[in-house]
Amino acid sequence: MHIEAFHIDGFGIYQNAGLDGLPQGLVLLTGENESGKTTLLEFFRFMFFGPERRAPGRNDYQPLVGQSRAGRLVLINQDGRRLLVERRENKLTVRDDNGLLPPDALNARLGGVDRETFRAVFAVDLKDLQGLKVLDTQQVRSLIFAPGGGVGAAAMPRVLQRLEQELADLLKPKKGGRLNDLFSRLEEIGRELRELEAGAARFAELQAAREALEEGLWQRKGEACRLETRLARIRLLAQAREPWVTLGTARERLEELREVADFPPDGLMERQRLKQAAAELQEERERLKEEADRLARELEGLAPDALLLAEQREIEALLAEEKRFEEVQTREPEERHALEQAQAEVRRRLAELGPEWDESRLARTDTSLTLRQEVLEYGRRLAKAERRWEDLLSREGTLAENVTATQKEFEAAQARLEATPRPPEEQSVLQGRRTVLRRLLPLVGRRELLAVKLQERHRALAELRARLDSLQEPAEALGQAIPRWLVVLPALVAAGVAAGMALGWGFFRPQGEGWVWLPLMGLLLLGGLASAGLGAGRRHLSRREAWERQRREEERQGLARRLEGEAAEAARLEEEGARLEAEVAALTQEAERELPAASAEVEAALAEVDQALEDWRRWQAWEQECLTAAHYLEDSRRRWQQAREEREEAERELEGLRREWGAWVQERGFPAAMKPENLEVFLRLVEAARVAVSQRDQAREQHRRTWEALREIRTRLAQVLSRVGREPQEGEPGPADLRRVRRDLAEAEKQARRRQELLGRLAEVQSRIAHLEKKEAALKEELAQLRIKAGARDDADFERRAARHQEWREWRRQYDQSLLKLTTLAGSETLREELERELAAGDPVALSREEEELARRLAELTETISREEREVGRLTQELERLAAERRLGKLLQEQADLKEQAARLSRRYVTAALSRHLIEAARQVYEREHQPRVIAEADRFLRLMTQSRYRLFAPVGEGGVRLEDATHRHMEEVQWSAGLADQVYLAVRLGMAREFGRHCEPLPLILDDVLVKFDPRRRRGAARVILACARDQQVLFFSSHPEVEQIFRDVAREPDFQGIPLKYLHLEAGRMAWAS
Amino acid sequence: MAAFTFVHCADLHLDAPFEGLAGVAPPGVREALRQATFRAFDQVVSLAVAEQAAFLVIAGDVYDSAHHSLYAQIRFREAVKRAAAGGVEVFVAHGNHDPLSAWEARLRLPEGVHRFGGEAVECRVVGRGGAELARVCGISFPVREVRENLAARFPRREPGPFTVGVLHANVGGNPAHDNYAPCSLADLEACGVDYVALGHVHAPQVLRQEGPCVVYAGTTQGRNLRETGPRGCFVVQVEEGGRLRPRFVPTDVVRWSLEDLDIGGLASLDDLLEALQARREELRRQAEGRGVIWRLNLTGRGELHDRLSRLDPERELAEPLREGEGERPDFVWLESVALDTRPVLDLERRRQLPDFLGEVLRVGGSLRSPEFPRELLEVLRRRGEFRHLASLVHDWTPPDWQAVLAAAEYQAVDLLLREEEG
Repeated sequence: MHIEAFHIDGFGIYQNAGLDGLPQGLVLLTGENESGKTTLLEFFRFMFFGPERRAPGRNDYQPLVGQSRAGRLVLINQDGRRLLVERRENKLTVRDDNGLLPPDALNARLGGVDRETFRAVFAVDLKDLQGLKVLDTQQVRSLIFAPGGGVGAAAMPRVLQRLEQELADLLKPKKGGRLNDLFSRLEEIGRELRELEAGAARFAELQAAREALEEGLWQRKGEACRLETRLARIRLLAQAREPWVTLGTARERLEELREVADFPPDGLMERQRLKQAAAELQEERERLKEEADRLARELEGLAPDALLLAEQREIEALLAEEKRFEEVQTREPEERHALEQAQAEVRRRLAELGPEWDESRLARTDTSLTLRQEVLEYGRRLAKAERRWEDLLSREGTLAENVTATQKEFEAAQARLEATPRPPEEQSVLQGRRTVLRRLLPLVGRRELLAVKLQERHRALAELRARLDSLQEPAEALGQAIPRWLVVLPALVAAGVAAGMALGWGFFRPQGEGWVWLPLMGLLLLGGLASAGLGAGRRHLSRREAWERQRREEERQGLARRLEGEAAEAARLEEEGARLEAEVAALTQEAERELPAASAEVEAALAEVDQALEDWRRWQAWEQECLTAAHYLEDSRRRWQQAREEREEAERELEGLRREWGAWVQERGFPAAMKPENLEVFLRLVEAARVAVSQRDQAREQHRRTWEALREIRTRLAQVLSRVGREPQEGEPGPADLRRVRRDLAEAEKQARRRQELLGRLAEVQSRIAHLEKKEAALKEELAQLRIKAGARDDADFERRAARHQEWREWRRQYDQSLLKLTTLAGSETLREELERELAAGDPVALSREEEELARRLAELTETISREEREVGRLTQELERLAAERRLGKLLQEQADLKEQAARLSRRYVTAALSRHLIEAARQVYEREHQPRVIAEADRFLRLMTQSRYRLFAPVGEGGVRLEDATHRHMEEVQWSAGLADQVYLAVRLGMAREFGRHCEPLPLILDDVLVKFDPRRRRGAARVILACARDQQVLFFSSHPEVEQIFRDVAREPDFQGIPLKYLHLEAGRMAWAS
Repeated sequence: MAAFTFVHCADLHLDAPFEGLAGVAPPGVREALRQATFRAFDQVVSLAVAEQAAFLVIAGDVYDSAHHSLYAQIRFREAVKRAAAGGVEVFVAHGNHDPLSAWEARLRLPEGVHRFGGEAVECRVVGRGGAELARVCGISFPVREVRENLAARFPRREPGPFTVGVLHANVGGNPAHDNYAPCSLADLEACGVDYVALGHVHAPQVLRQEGPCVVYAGTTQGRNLRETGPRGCFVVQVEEGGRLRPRFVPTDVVRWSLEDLDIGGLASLDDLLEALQARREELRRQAEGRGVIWRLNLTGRGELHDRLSRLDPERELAEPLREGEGERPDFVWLESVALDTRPVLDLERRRQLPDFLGEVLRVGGSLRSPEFPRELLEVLRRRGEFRHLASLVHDWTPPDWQAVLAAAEYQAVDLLLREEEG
């Protein structure tokens, strides 16, 4: 598959750009840094696999214009089928000549290669290549396998390490792993559970004991209950006896005092209270009468001023203006003084203007804005004319000094030119000679380089011939190390000895003893085995000899082919050397010189011509400088003359303007010699005088208004004083008179209010006295009623009946209390009557004896019950403790949890162990089956790159790759130089690309500046490899180094790479153009 | 025949441990789970009293005798005592987990609680107002392993009142359960009872509606992630004509939920968390005030796989969803999050590629030989410490090994790709 055309709608710096007609072979794209090479690489990745996942720090190549990354590709398969791929962000459209295809058609055409594989193998940038340099040996190996193994192989060692770590964390042979810990805890829980099971049997035993105890306890509690009931009844009778006796006595006394039972309750106290209240009422009435007399006397002594009270409104109106009155009386003298000062200011201002000035002339004088603007305009024009004249005068002086300096420079340049001689040889002749020498210099250099290359070729030919000669020497005859006779010798010797021994045995021993033949058989067997062993060893050595011979033959044939190639290359170099020699001779003749032996001679001649040309350039510079100085002198003289004329014209203009101003100022009545700026000051004085006149008029008006207000208030106050019969304290009525009237008025008002209060209080006291008299009468009536109710004839009889009633009440209280106590003890009215009957019939002594007997028996029973209850309690506690034992449940729960954890971790362990096995086994398979093919391809490329100086191979059954130099010396990875490591890496990567191409459609290979670290020789070798690849699959090679393009151009001309389609493309700031 | 109601429950497994609590749960949740079997049975008793049931039948496995839990037996006695006090007679048949021969604390059962013997089928009469209301017949497991068909011991049908048969048995040879007291529906039909109250299978199911009505009550409280969904008992109404109306009533106090969530349509971790929060609230709503233990399996292929495989699911997924759950009675406790997701990677296609990843997958394929999983065990036995795990993996089935091998393949590929990306 190759990319025939592409178009970028928007991607990074590319906007609406594209190319078509890309060849199937090599496309070399060159451009400086930031010209868009990497963007183009990313564009192809984007087109094949869509946008990368966003990540911090990763450039997502958003287009400069528009929002979407989009583009199109035209792909051509090996079988010629076309495929049009369009993508806009994630949206992919795939078409072929027959129409629209499903999006996964692209993936199918890519042979299942995914994004990671494409990046690792087919789209390689500088970063991948440079990553090798910092890695240690193991990682270098891994990365070498990465392009060979595809995605995953590079990470394999780290993944194996991680899996091993996880497995160790989970489970260890003895202890320390998470699973080991779980198993230990499960064992502990098992032990604890077995201990808990023993406690259950104890529970059943205790329960039976408690049930037996509870049965006996129940019976004893019943008996105790019966005893307690009887004992309580006896104690109740003892308690009830005293209230029962009291109740009988109370009944008798109440019957005797029946006549005073209806006496008013608390009658004696009531009578005392009524008498006390009547005395208090009388005392209060006497006190109120005295107060009424005192109020009447005070009223007679009060007399307020009626005249003042009649003028109260007018006085209050004047008092409201009291502040204003005081203010105008104070202000009037101040304003009079201010008026006098303003008058004096007017006189001073008129004197400043001059004796002929008065207020009428002041009013007539024109100080308008128009006049002042005219004055200003004259002032501005006069100042401008004066400044111009001064500037021109200054300029005239400066130009005169410039003329003098230019004159001196001209004379110095003329002297330098006359002192320098003109070069003898013409400039055009010298330039022609330099051109010929420049063409000659690279030819001589190439002739020297060819000589060195030829020498290297001859040295390589000698090495190859020496190696070939060493291979043509016969290989060591390993098979002859063991001669044939040595193989059969042990068997023959054993047979001989056995025969001899058999004869001896047969002669001396009797017949029938078969066992004697056994040693002979053993001897024969040993001899046979020895011969067989020697024969096998001889065959093995012979096979090794044959294998070694074959290997040497193969190598010899290979070396012979390389020898032929090297010889052909040497002949080609010699032919090219002769052609160069002829060209050099022709140019030497043209340069009119002898044939140069080395490039140094040509460089010396070139330096000589360059020096002569430099002399020419210096003489021409002096001549030019002299001409320039003469031109400057002429120019400065012309400018000085022009400045003098301009200054004279400015002087004339200034004089005319001064005359015009004098006429204008005289015409308006001012002195002719007055300048515009002085006239402006004079006009300001006129304005100030006018302001003084205006201020004086205002002061006069103010003083008049103040005087009129003062006079009006004084008039009103004088009228009020007259009406209330008072005289002003001074001649004119003033604020002091007003304040005196206010004080008198306040006193009159106070007296009026006091009189009103006294009248009100007097009426209230008289009303209260009448009310007290009514209450006294009511109390007397109440006392009379109380005596009637008590049935007493007088106060003494009342008191005697009251004492008997008190005694009746006391007995009644005792009766009620005794009855209540008995009812409470009995529980109800009916039971009380029964209790009274029982008390009447009972013998207290007999009951006391019975009580003592019952108490003794109850104490014994209570003691027994208490003891047994404690025992039951103890058993209950023990049973409850056993029953409430939740440790079992918790342990069982923990056991279940741990088992589940163990199951999960076991699964994790098994998964990790199997993962590890899969990777390990895959590594073995890969190394055994895949690497050789990949590495064989890589070896081919590496040989091409290094001109067979190194060989790359993968030993069967061992990991990694091995490198061997031309002398068959192994090179460990640590011995690889950085450049060699890069070559190996590139070769392995290209090998893998070829390996993929064998399984599916060969995909375009995109290489971004991967030769940047290669020296020129290695670049040339790499260019051969890349061109060799381009024979089978399209290669897009990006570079920022122009010399890389030249290398490819040179290599493409070599016979081995003729016919490979090749195009050059230049990139610049997002623009693409085919190169010639 | 008078109408009446009875309640049928089974497989209480009081105080038996719960599975699936290996994840760290707060004390509130753990305590709720420890009390769950007791509270569930309390609810059964309360239901029987509230429904004014004539009797309550318990078809075996009241507790696990092997655990010797005294606490369980005492709590059981208290509960049935409450039922008897509420006028509900209780009939208990013992099963394989609490056979008559097994250890027990010899607690005296209250009046009104009857235990069936193990020698022969016993029948007890339940009366009301001096008349026979129903007969309850049953038999207990005398020992743990009863391989005999106990249904065959039931007497043939005789004229009489409504009859309930109580039995702990495996009907129809359900392979997911131990095959104790195996019998068939035909055997039960021949028992001569109107309602067969079964125990042993933990999922509630009505095997037959009538002639006779055969019902597994299921366990009253699920105890692991295989026992998801509502669990409870059956309230059976017997109408005057003998018609039966069994009604399932959930009694579980904690519900188990095992869910798979496909990450295929989810673009980001925020989307995933949002979906999980919505699902959590939906589970809470469905649980109607109960606690829920929730295990989540994230499955499927998607871009999110890469992100998920790099994070700690316990810390970054489970913990945000558990926040505040430990303190509320209607908790939804995310027990664990299992990552069973796959990258956007076609393993079969990848297996064809001639690169290292392809080789890893081809090795995995070669292990699926006809002798599977013997070769896997040989690989594992090469590691000496594996002997500690031999008993744990002993009962893994071939599908288990297939799943482990697939997980190993994904793990290997995933690790290699991730490590390569750095």
